[in-house]
Amino acid sequence: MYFKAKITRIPISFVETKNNFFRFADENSSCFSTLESSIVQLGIINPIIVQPWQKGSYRTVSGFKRLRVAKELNLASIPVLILREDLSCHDLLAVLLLSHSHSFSLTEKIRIARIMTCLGLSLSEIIKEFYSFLGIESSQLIETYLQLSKYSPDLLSYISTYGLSLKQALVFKGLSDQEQKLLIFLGNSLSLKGYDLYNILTNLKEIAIREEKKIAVIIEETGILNIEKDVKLTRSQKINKIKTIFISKRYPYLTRINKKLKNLNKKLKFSPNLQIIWDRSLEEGMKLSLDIRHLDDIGEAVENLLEKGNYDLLSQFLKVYYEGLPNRKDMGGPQSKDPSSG
Amino acid sequence: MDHKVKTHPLVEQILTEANNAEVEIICSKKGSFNKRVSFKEGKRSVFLTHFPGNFVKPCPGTGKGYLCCGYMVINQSINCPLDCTYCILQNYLGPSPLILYLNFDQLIQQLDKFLKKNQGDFFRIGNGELADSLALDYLSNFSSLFISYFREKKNVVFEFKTKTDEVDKILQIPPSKNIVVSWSLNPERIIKQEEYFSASLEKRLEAAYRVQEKGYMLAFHFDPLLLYPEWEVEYQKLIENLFSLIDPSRIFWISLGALRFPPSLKAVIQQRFPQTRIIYQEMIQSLDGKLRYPKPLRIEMFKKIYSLIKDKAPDVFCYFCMESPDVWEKVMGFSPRSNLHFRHIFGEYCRKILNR
Repeated sequence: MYFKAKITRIPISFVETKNNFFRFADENSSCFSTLESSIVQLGIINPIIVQPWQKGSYRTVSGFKRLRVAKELNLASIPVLILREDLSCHDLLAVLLLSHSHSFSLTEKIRIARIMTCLGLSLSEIIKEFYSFLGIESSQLIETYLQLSKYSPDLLSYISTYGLSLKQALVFKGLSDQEQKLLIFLGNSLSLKGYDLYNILTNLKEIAIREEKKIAVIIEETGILNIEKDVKLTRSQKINKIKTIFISKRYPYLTRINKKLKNLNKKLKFSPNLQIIWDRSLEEGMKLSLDIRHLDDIGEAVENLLEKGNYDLLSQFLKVYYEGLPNRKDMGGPQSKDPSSG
Repeated sequence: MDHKVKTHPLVEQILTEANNAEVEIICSKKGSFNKRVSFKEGKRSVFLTHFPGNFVKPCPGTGKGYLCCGYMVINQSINCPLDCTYCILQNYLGPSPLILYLNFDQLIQQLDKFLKKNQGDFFRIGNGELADSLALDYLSNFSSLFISYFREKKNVVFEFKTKTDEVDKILQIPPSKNIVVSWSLNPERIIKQEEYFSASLEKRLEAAYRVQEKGYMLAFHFDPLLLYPEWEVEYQKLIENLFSLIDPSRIFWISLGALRFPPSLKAVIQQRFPQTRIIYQEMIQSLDGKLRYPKPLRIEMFKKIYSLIKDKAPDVFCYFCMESPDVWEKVMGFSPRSNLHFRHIFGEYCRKILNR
C-alpha cells in the first residue's frame, strides 16, 4: 500500500543526495567499510527506499549509507522501492521506522523525534501512533528528545560514538556552541567515555555557577587543554589529571583533607592492618582505623606508634582497644577501684 | 474542600476572605488530598479538610551527632505558599496543595490531654514546622484560636514562625507573655534570590516592630545561614538593621543554623530553581546524612554572627538548631550535654523570662 511498484532499478543520478530530511541513523567509519565490502561482493541486497521528488528526481527516505557507498563505488544504477507521492506523514514515518530492523539508539531516537515534529505531528499523535516503535511513553520524554535535537551534529555524533545515556547527554544542555566545541574536542581527543565526560562537565558547570564564570573561561583558567597536548602523559594520566583538577576546584576542602590523609599515611608507613582514615562523621578529624586479627598485632601497633612518636594516635589506639575489651575492670576502667591497676 | 468539612463554621469565613476562589468539593480518605498537582498548582490551591490523627508531635530533629532542642510541633497547616529554593518541604511533601485542617476542637482535646499528662514539664510549641505560621492567617485566623488557647497555659511558650508580614490578625488580639512571634531572617539579596513570595527584610522587620509595640515577645531565626561571597558584610548589615528597630529585651530567643539538606533535595532544587547558586558551595555529607558546609566554615560563620548578635543583645538566649556539641563549644564556649539537657536549660530560661 505504501509503494508504487515492486523493486525496480533506477539510475543513481536520479536520486537527490543533498536532501537529508529523513536521515537519522548513527554513522561511523567502520560501518561504511563493512557495507562497502558487502556491496562489492553481493551488490545492494536491501533496496533503497525513495519517494518521487522535484523534477523527476527522487529523495531518499531510507538507505543513506547504501546510497553513499554506491556513489563512492560509481554504481550506475541502484535497486529501489519507490514510495507513493501522496503518503501521509504517519505512513512515511511508519515506512521509515519499519525499514530499520535494529533497535534505535538514543541519538537515532532524538533525530526521529525531530523528523516527526518537522512533519507536523503533535506530541500526542507521536505517542499514540509510534510509542511502541520508539519505546517512548511520555510527552515529557519526547520534549526532552526535541531539546536534545537542537544539539549540533558534532555533539550528537559524539553522543552516539561514545554511547552516552540520556542523563549524560542532558548535561550538555544550555552550553554555548563554543563550549560544546571545546568539550567535544576534549572528549574526542581523549576518547572520553560518557561517564567521564559527564563527571567532568557536571563539576565544571557547578564551578561555573558558583564562580559566576563562563565554562569556556574555567576551561582556559585550568589549562586542561594544555594537559591534553602534553606528550609525556598517557591518555589515562591525562584523564586523571583533568579529573583531579576539577574535583579539587569543586571540592577544595575535601581535597585538602584527602591530601593530609595521604601525607600522614605516607609518613607513618603503618603495616597493612593499621590505617588512618577520614571519618565523615567527624566532619574534619582523622580517625585511626584498626584491623586487628591476631593478638600479636596489638603489640606491633603500639610499637609502631611509639617508634614514630605519635602519642596522640597511640592514646587514641589504646582508647579504642580498651573500650572494645569485654571486661574493662581488669584494665582499670570505670568499674575499677584503682584506675592505675590496668 | 473535603466534603466532610463543607458545613464547618470556618469554611464560610475562609471562602469570604478568599473571594473569587474556585471551589471544588472532593471525597478524601483520612484528610489526604488525592489529586495530582504540580508544585506551582499546589502553591495556589488550599485544601480544607479534617485531620483524623495526632496534631501534636515532637519536632523530628535530626540524626545522632547533632543536638536538638526538644521543640513540639502542631501540624494544623501543611505546606506553604512561599517558595524558598532550599525548602525541605519540596522533598518531604512533594508537589502538594496547602492544607488547612479545620478540626480545631480535636486539636484542643489532644493538647489538653498532652499538657495534663505532662503537667510538670515545660514546653516550647510552634506551628511553623510544615507551614509558615502566618502566611494563610488572613484566611484561617488560626492565630486567634492558638493565642486564646495558649495564653492560659503557664508551662508553654507558643511560637508563630514566619517569613511574611501577615500580622494584622495578631495585632487585633491582646498579647500574652508566653506567645512569641518569630521571623526567619536573611539578607535582602538572599530574600530576593532564594525566598520567593516572602516579605522583604524591611517588611519583616516593620511587622516585627509592630508586634513588639503591641506587647508580644519576639524571636528570630538566622536559619538557614548561607555562605556566599558577601555573606559577612550582608549579615552584619542585617543584624544592625534588626537591632536598630527591635529592643533586645523583647527578644525571647535567637537561633542559628547553617544550610543543610538531604542529598536528594539537590536534584529537586536544580530542576525547580536552575538559577540558584546555593547548592554549589562545597558541602559534605555529615553524620545525619545531610549535606552541610564543612565544619570549619560553619564555625567561622557562626562565630562572626554570634558575636555580632551578642554585641547588640548580650542577654538574649542563642542556640543552634541541629549542630554538633563541638560547634557549640567552639562558638558559644559551652555545650548542652544531651538533647534532654538542651531542652532542660531552654525550658529553665523560658520559665525565668516568663516570671520576670
